[in-house]
Amino acid sequence: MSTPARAGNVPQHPVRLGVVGCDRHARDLAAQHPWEYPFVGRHAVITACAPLASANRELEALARRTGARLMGSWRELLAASDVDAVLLLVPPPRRPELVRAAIEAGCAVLCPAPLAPDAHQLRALAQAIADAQAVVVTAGVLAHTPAGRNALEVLASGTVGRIESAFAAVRWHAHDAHAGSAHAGLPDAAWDVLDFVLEALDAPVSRVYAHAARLFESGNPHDTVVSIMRFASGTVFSFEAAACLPPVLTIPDAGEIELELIGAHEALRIEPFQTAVSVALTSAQEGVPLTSTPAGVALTSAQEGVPLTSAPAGVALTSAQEGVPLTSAQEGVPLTSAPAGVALTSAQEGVPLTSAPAGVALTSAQEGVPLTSAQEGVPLTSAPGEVPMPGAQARIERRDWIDPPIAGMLGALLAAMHEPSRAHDGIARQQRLCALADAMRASIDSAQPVEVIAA
Amino acid sequence: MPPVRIGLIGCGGIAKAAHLPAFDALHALVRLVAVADTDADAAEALARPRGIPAYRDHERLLAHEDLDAVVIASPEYAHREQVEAAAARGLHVLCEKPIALTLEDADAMIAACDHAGVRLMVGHSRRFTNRYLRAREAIDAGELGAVRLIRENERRPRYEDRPGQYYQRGHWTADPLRSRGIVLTAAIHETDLFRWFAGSDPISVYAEHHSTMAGNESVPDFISFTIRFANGCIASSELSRVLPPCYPGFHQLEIYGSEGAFRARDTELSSLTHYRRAGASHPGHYGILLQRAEIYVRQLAVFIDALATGAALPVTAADARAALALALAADRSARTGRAVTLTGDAPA
Repeated sequence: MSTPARAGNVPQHPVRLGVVGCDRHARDLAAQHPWEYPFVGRHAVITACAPLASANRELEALARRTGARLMGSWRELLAASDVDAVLLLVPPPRRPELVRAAIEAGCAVLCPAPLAPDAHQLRALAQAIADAQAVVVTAGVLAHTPAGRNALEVLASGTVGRIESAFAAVRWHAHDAHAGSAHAGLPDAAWDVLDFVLEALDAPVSRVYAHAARLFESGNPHDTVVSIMRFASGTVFSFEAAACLPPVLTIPDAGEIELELIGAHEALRIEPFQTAVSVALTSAQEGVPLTSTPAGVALTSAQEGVPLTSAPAGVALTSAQEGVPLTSAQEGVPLTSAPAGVALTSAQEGVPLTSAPAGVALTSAQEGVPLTSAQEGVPLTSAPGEVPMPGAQARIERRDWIDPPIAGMLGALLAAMHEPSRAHDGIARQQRLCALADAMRASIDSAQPVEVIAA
Repeated sequence: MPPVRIGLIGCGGIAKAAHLPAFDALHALVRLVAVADTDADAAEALARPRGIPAYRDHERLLAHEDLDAVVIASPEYAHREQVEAAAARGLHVLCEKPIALTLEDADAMIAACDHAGVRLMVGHSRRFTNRYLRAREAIDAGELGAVRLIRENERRPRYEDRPGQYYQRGHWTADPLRSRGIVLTAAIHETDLFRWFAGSDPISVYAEHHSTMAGNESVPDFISFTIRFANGCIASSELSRVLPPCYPGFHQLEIYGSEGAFRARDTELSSLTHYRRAGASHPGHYGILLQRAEIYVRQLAVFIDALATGAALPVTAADARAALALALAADRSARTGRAVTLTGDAPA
C-alpha cells in the first residue's frame, strides 16, 4: 500500500486488520475472542498477524483461529496489500517506530495508550501524524469497555457533580518479569488507567507528587509508584501501581485494577476484573476443614482436583474446568447457586444449604444435617472473614476483563476512518499523558511535587 | 477488687455509640459514676436512665465525685484542659484520639500526667479492632515477611438527614479555630496504624487536601497522603467521611510484604444493602464491620487492667504523640504544597 490512509478514505469492504504483537499483548487480545463478535466480522477482519521480534505461540494461535496469515515480521505485514489498518499490541517504547512505519505504509493505526514513552517522542510523533493527515487512534482500553464507556457517559450527563477526588490502584504479580519493565516502571494497564482518568476528569493536571521504589522481587528498578495529583479543577487524584500481589492473589501476566471517581452527588467505582476473579480454596489435606475468605465460597467438586468456584457477589457457581458439571455428594442432586448469596442443595434431598452473602458460615438449614463435601471425611465449612485457612490452598483460577474492550476499540478506529474530525482522537490527551509521565519522573527524582504547566 | 470508678467527660456520639456499651459490658469491673458535657441536654440524656449525676463541665464533675479515672470523649480542642485537670486530681485518663490539637498541648498533657504519677492512654481504637490486630499478629509472626507497601482508604458517606454531621456549618469540625479537619478527626488512625505496621520511623510525608462539603469552605474534609518510612516501606491513605449519601462505608486495608499480603476490603463484606429511591446504600456497614462495641470493650479492658496490675499500656502517650506529629506533618504538607521531611517525630 503506498497511499497513506487518511480520514474519510474508507475501504468499501470490511477493514482488513493486521495485528502486530508480542506475547502478553497478543494473549490479551486472544483472550477477548474478537472473532466471536458479529461486529468484528461485519466491519473488520483480521487478515495478518506478525510477531514483534520472534515467533510466539499466542500470535500463532490468534492467526489460526481467525484464518489470518502469519507473517514473518512486522515489516512484511506492513508491506502486504491486504492490510488497511494495524493494531499495535507492542510495548510503548516500540510504538513510535511502528506508528511511523505504518503511516508510511499507508495503514491506519489503532494503538493503546500511551502512544509514546515520553512527551519528547510524542511531540515529534504527533507532528508526523498531523503532517501525514494519518488516521492514528489511541484507544484507551478501559475507556472502551462497556463499564468505562458507561462511566464516561454518566460523567457527561452531569449527575455525578463536580469530581472531588479519584482513586486508582493497579496491582500485578510480584514476580512478573514482564510487567512494568517497558515504560517508566509501570505496566501498560497503569498508563491506560491514567489515560482514562485524564479523559474522565477532562481538566489539566496542575501538580504532581510521586515516589517510586523497588519494594518487591520484580526485577524492575521501580516496581512501586505512589502518586498524588491535583487537577486544575481542584480534584485530588490518588494513584498507586505496584508489583505487590503475591502468587496466591493473582496469576502471572494478570493484575487487578480498581478505580473510583467521587463526585459531589454520586460516586462511580470500576473494577474491570472483579467478577471474573475466582478464589478457589481446596483442602490440601484430608480431614482439614475447608474455609473461605470473604471473597467467595469454595467447595470441592465431585471430581477430584477440579475446584468449584464462586464469584464474590453470589454469582453463578461454575466449575473452573469447562464441561465438568458440579454435582453434590448425592448423585443426581444438582448444586445450584442463586444471586445474592450462594444457595446449594445439600446431600440430603430437600434440605437446602444456605450461605449469607458476606462469606458468613455455611450452615445447613436443618439442624443436625451436616454439610459434606464430595470427598468423604472432609467437612465443608465456611467461616467469617479473616479466619486463617490452615492446610488450605487459595489461588486465582482465571482473570479476564468483564467487558472485553476490543469491539469498542475497533469501533473507535472505524469511526476515525469514517470521520475526519475524529482521525486523531486521543492524540491531545496523549500529550497530556506523556507530560504527566514526565512530571511523575521529575517528582520521583526531586522527592518534591512538580507543578505542571499547560499539561 | 472493687470496680474502677469512672467519670465520663463528653457525651456526644462516640460516648453513646462506643464508650457506654463498653462500660455496660465490663460492669463488673468498672462503674460509671457521673458524666459531664457542656451540652447539658446531652449529659442529662446519658445520666438520667442510669440514675447518675450529670454536670455541665468537667471541673464540677471532678470537684464533686470520688473517681479513680476519667474517660475523655470530647473533641480534641478540649483535651488539654480536661486531661490536665484530671491529672491534677490524681486521676488516670483514657482520652479519645487524637491526643491534642498541637504537639505543644500533647507535651503539656504528657508532662502533667507524668508529674501526677497517673496513667494516660489515648484511644487509638483501631489497635483493638479485629482486622488490625490480626494484621499486626501476621506481621509479628513473620507471615508477610518485610512490610513493603500499605494502603488504608477510609471512606464514609455523609448523612444529610442527621444532625451533627461532621463539617456541616455550625458543627465544631467545621470551625477552623477548633478543628484541623479530617487529618485529626480520622487520618490520625492511619498515622498511628502505619507506624504500628511499618515498624519504622517516617522520613517524609506528602499530602493533598481540600474541602468538599457544601457550606464548608475553611476546614479540609478530604485528605490523601503518602508516607515513606526509614526501612523503605511506603504507606498511603485517602480519607473522606462526607461522601455522597449512597456511598457504602468502606474501609480498605492492604498490607503487602515480601512474603505475603493481608487485605480487608469492606466492599467484599457487605452484610446489608438497602435499595431505595436514592440508590443502594449499606446502613450500619462500617459499624458492623469494625465491631465497634467489641473494640471499645477491649480498649477499656486493657486500660483498667493496666491500672490494676501496672502492666504496660499497649498504646503509650508517646505513640499518640508520634501519630499526632505525623498527622500534623501531613497537614503542613497539604497546606504548603511541599513534601515534609521528618526527623524523629517532628517535621524538619
